[in-house]
Amino acid sequence: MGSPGMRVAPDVLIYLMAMSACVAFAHFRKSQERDRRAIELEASLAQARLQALRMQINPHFLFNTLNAISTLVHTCPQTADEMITDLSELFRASLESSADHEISLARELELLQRYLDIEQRRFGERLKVEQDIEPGILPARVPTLILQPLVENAIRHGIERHTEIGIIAIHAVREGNQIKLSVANNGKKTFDAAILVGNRHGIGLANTRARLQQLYGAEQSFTVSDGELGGWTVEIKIPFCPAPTTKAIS
Amino acid sequence: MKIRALIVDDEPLARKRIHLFLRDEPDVEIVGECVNGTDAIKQIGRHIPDLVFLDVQMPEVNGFDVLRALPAKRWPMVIFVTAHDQHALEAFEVHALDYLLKPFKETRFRQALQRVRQNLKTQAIQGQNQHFQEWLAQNSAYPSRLTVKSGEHTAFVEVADVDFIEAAANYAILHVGAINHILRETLTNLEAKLSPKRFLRVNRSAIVNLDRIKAVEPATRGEHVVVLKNGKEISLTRGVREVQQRLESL
Repeated sequence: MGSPGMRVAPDVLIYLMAMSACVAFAHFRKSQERDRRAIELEASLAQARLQALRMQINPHFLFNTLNAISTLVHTCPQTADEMITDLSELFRASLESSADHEISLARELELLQRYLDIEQRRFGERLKVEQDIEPGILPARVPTLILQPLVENAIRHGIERHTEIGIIAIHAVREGNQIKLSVANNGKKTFDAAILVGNRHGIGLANTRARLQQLYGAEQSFTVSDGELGGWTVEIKIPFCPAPTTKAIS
Repeated sequence: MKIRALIVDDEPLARKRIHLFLRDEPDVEIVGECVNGTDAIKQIGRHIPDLVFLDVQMPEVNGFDVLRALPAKRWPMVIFVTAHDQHALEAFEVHALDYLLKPFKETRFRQALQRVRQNLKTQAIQGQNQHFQEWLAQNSAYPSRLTVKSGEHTAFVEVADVDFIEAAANYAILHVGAINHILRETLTNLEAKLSPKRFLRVNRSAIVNLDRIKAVEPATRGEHVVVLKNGKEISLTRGVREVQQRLESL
């Protein structure tokens, strides 16, 4: 006959052991979850880069751009020079291997501008770009290369398919604790906005949607709707975060 | 004569490049520039250019659509100018003269123009040949009927029905079965109107339908006569062997 304490001890021990096993397992699960999430994020960033790269090596964009440059070499060397550096910068950004899932809106817009400058020179008067960016949110964090595929889509389905002047409108505003990014185009709707997200032409948008989901979960939204300009509008809402976060590591 | 050229491309700098290179080609005149396919169809109809520099990928109406919108015989010479190499086969099918990939070298461009000139030369020769052939066809086609006028009366005699023709002073007598027609025409003139494959001048004053000859028979003093199917004998002053050959070749 032992003391009751002695009788309890093995139970407690077993209990503690079971508890710690549970906790360890939970930790393990959590870290596994974290790894999985990190891998997913990694993959989606790589996907975004690949997509940007694919756009740049798309023969229609690349060779027409080079053709434009080859003309400017004769007629306007200064502009040719700028276009070459614009193109280089675009390539560099998509070939970059850093794991930064987010960059400042300012940097994202700067990259976008490189792309737009090229398109502007290619299409001349046929392309009109309107940008309305709330200056206060320029330091805010946005997913790397989030805007370029949207704008590229807008140009490809808007300007390149229609003979009338194409308008691309890019907006970025703060709405409470969120920032809203939107890209709209004018012209005829070649296909239904809802289909746009799912079909072959909408691969870019589907990827954008998945990426936002991975980065911000329920705190984001992604919508495609009929635009005020006659074409369609893609609208993204993400948490407003004015300083660099540790998202890249999480 | 100058080569009248039209430039079709939706990108201004792409048009400019061609414009630039054509400045050094004194034998090429630019009749217009088109910013899209619809414009191109209109301007080709209006200017009827000899040569079109045609971009493939353009909004709404592409380069191939332009050609399809025109009747094939009104197709100008076409040099496709495109960023894509996958249209080459189709270009070949529509008999494009050349296919320039953007961006193209200046030497390559000059080469394409050389091809245009070569093609024009070939066309010109073919054109002349065609004229000659037509002339020949018109002139070698012997009339199948002869017109016989007597007073107010005009008769038409099938050449094939003529048995033989006899000279009588400035007249010619057509022997057609039992009927004789008198023509105010010399035998030499008539001979020229009749196919040598079907008629033979057997002596100074007679032409015989080769089809009607039954036999060639010796006559007095080493001479010969042709015997027609109707029994009529006509003296032969030509070599017997020649007549035999002509008869065999019928």
